[in-house]
Amino acid sequence: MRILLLGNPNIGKSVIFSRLTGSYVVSSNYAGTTVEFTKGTMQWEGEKAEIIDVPGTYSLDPTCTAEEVAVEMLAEGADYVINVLDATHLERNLYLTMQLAEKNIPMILVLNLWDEARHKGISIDQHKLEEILGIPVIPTVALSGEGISEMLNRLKEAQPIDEKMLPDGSAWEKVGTIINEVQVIEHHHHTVLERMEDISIHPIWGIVFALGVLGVTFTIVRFFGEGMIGYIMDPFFENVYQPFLLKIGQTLDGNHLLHQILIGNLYNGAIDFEQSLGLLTTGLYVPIAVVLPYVLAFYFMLGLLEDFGYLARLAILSDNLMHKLGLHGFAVIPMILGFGCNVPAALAIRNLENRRDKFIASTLLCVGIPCASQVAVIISLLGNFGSRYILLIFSILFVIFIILGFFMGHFVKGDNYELILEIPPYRIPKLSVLLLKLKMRMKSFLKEAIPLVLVGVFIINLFFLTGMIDIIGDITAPIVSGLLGLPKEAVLALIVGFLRKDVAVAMLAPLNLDVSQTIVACIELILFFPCVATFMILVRELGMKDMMKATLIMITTAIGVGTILNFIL
Amino acid sequence: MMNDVEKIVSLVQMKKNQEGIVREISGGKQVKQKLISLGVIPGQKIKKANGLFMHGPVIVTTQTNVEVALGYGVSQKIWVEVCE
Repeated sequence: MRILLLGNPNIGKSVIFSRLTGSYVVSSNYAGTTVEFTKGTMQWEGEKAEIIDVPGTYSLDPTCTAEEVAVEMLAEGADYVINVLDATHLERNLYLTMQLAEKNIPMILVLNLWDEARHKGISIDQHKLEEILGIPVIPTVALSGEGISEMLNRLKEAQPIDEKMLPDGSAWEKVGTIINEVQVIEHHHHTVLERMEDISIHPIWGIVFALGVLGVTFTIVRFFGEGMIGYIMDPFFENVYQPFLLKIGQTLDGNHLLHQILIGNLYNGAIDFEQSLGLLTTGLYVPIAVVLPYVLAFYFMLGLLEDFGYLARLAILSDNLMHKLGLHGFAVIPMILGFGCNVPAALAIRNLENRRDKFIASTLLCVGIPCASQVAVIISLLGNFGSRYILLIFSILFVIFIILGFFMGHFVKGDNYELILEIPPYRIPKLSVLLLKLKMRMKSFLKEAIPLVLVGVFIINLFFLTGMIDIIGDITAPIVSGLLGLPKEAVLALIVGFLRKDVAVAMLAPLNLDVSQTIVACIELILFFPCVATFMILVRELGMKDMMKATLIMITTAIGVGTILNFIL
Repeated sequence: MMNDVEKIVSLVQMKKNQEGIVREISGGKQVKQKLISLGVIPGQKIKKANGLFMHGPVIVTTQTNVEVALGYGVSQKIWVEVCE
């Protein structure tokens, strides 16, 4: 049994999927959150049924990779199609239904966002619609679960739409005739949210609004991150965890090697969690105490902005700037996601239309957007020198981002695509939904980060213990020391950076760098190379050849910028 | 002067809050397809809700009451019959 969930983007297919299968898929309030299909299973009529959450598509003539996926899934065949529609935009959504009708697959219609439609003064006669199409039509509110069980009960009544029953004409004409019979829209007064929608894409107030939103976001992330580190994480590691580790250390006394790997160097008989570089010390401290608080705070704010519907507006406001970089406004969404983690950002690049846009966006993402993990460690490293240096790093990155984008926009061949984006309505997010999304993102962060950080710390130890660090250090010294002005051991940070950027930055702590060296090293780590997880996804999205070109640009930029900074700072 | 003179202009030239009927979309097949699937369709009504300055996107409301943002370049290629 194979059931496809199909429909336009941003109408709640993933929420329905989660309800049916109990497995969670990230959903947000803008088109294109799901770019790959997700499979799940559920028990239905005593049978095991496979359910597939297909990326949203407006039509069966694909205009981007995510839509191509949808068409492919359909071509592979299905026993049932659950066609999910946005009840607030029935007319547009029925267009896809008309195209699906031609496929002759048993199907039912789900009118999601039913509550929102009512609020907007839209009334739909679902019985009449059922009569016209000859298939079950079920109103639902996926977020609260309303109508989901009715949907499951009536799935067995699914059947192909009999095209002879439909009105004559082109797909749009058919839709028009049907709408006239089933839908009535009453005029309603503008709500506060709708006023806010207008302000946030207003030519002038929109920019003021955007600066406000970004300012508030950064302030909250910093306040929350710093607070959690200062009041919870650090006291715990220093006062509870440290005595415990020191005891373990004593029992390991005879075994110098094991002590070195697990606990690392002691400074005046005490552990320095940032510098000791043991698996149980720095290896756990970095992901949990330094990185986790910021990632948590960032993802909470990101989830809020996503579900509220703000990111799409940011895309519209930045369309102008992004055009100068050879992209269009939608490319700002992967960039914002990249500030959390570059991996989901690399996946979001799939929503861009063509090879050129994907290439430019990927390169800019890898070069100019540091992930939250990396920024967290940079803050802890540079925080002692003063927060103006953190600002300096972001300013340098911004300048590189703009200059590199400008060059690529001019020299990478191909058409400049245009922004065509549906603007989602603002919705007040539900706290339970936000917290669930946060929980899933944190879970995948911990699952991916901790093992890789530990491997990274282990490799660092291996390089030091075997003396390999001297060999590699000497080979790369002309670049690392000569051009970048860093101690030759810093090359290890660049190597580890491929695995995990946060350990790489943490690894700079024991090198006793001065301020300008630290800035150069941090910038290098951001520019040089994406981490392995991002790299693998981009190879898949761009192909090996384009990814190699992108990598070449990254390395050239890194060495060029590093050299310049070394001489001016 | 006569009232109700029909005139064809591009989306870019339309005034804020002006309504009209889409007459032609000059552009590639892919772009047309995407516009049609969003409700910017020849023969249907469209309303310009706003336009961002310095060649920013134009925001329109389609006949089906969907708000869509269209880049400046594509907006130049959408021809609308307006009443003045």
